[in-house]
Amino acid sequence: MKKFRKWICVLLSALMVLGLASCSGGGTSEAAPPEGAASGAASGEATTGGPSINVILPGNIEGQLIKDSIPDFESETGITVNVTEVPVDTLNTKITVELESGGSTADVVAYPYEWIPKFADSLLALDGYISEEDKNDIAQYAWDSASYNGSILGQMYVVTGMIMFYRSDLLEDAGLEVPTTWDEYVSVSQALTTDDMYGTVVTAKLAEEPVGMYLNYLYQNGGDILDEEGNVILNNEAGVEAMQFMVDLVYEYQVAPEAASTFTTTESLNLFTEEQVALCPNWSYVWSVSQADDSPIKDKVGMALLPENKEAGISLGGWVMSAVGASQNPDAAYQFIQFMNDTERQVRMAVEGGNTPTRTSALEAAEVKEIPLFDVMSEALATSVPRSKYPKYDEISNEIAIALSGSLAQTGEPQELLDTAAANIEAILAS
Amino acid sequence: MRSKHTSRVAVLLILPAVVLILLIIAYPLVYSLFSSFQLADGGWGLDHYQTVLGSKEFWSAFKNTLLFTAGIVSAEIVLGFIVALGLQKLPTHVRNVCRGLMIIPLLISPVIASYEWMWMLNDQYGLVNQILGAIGITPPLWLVKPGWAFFSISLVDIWVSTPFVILVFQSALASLPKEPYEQAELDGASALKKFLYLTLPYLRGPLIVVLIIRTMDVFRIYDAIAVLTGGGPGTATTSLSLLAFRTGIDFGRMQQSSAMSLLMMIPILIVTAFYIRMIFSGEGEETRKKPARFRRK
Repeated sequence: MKKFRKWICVLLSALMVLGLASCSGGGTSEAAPPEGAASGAASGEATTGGPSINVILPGNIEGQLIKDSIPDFESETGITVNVTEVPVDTLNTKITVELESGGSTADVVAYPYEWIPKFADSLLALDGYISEEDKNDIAQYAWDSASYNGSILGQMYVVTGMIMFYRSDLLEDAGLEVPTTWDEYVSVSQALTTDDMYGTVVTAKLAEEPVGMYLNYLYQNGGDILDEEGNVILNNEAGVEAMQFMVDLVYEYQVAPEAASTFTTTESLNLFTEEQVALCPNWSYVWSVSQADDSPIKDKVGMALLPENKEAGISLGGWVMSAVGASQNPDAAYQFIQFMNDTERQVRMAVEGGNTPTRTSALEAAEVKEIPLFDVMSEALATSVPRSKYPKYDEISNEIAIALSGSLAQTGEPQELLDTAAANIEAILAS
Repeated sequence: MRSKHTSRVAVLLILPAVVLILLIIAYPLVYSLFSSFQLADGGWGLDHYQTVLGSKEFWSAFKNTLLFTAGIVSAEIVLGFIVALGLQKLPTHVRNVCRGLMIIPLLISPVIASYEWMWMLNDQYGLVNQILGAIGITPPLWLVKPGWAFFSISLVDIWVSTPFVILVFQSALASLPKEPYEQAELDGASALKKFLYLTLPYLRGPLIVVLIIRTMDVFRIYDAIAVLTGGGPGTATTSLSLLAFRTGIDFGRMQQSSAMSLLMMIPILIVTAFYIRMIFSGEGEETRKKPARFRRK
């Protein structure tokens, strides 16, 4: 019996250690408040006496660019800003917990705009705050994307979409034109595929991001997830053909790496910058990465619209900044959002972060006009479809991601996997 | 007098720990129990449990989780046992060095370890493929085909956690009493017999402790899957923890996620109860039979 007690003691202590260890893991790394900010100050009055706001920003390039502009905002408005920087991977968790807990101290949150329908109930409607001047200066697609149920719930501070980045030197050497249709895309990719070079690349990891690539093919093929009445049409001929095309690029034409089902655009960008892929459909930020001084493909990259099959269309990606409904300082929160999206800041985001401005005034700035990316992007974005039009996009995209990664790993046929996805989406929308 | 005073001090000393445990364990548990029965219209019912138990995803994830648990735990026990026995044969200072080195995976956060392995298994630049290629083996696409993806995830978990198993077995082996072995020696027992009738029964306690901890742990497998495959391809490697996380955090269905988590506890409780029964039944057997077996004739 003594021995038994001994082992129970060992078991309990081990459990305690494991419990503590698991409690300490998985937390988000939060950046310290900026110098001079009242650390830990609740939303409301800062120690300096002026108003203060708490802002949750993602730990990415754009988040950093916003952080860099905060001192200007503070000196211009006298509002103190406390920043919590959250890694992109855990941002969803952080904001969900903040907004659902009811005890949130955040005033402004920045996040991918497709989460708007999910957070809509906890966000402040900005319709009454936005000036006529801003309404006219900012592109309509940006307002549409940030709206839900007829209310504007944020401002898009990053808009992006996929375009085709290609190795201009290789196309020139082979005497080939940039592909504009799916057929040309296949033939050019085949011509450029060699032992050390893939013609193109497909991304299909089980995650939200690669779904964007499928949606591009889907829209180009005249398909959609839902029709105008809200019926699921994902598994119709257009939807299946689009997914089959992605599978064929890998297995039938053999112009893209077989590891597609483990790729997001990060992996495809790596292959592109390491000179292993000739045609790389990817997000607009690839331009600034490929033009960096240490990039092996600097000055060898061209940009074009994605090839289309039946019509032009891309899925709009982007980030939005919203004010929290429970904010103690809604005016200061809106001031922050407006400041970070004014013409000066958009120009900076464009020049330093490669982000396409949504303001006409920013697009017309001389330093923006110098960058060739924005012409192509503006043209591409004009045909963009916002994801925030789908209610429960997260769940819908998860179903598509399962079908996509399964198709690319050949665990099933696109038709069969999309039928399952469509049935599940119907159930999700009905619940 | 003394005991009254001591017990009051003892209560005071453990009070903060008890409050902390109540706050971080009991409160969320009770909260999720309540929320799993709470319906969207404000009423109470079993709807969330019905939805979860009726969904294919749940059963597919349940099957995957069972396979992960069975595969990983048995591999860890066998490997841990073999290595611990091997270590026992080494000279003390070499053993200490080996033990120190083996603790390293335990010190690395599972997420970091998963990322390391993700890169090592990468089909383009991965170390594993380079090595296999150098010795003439065509490496598989580790994370692409469901079978290999399953294997890769298991490999990462085994790499991270086997040292724990080794440490437990090794310390149990080091504390074995010498007398029964000397007795067995005098009786002319072979090495195999000594192993079967002495070492194995003595290791019953630690074995069950390892089984309980590792089964509970692997049943909640999350990190390696989230990093390596995200649950894919398709739903081939989605575990219950990953599904519960997605349902609650990604899709905002907290009540359903709570129901799922609570359902997850049932198999864990059953298995743990079974193991604990094994300890109880073992206690009797050990004390009754063992001395008799090696009684001097």
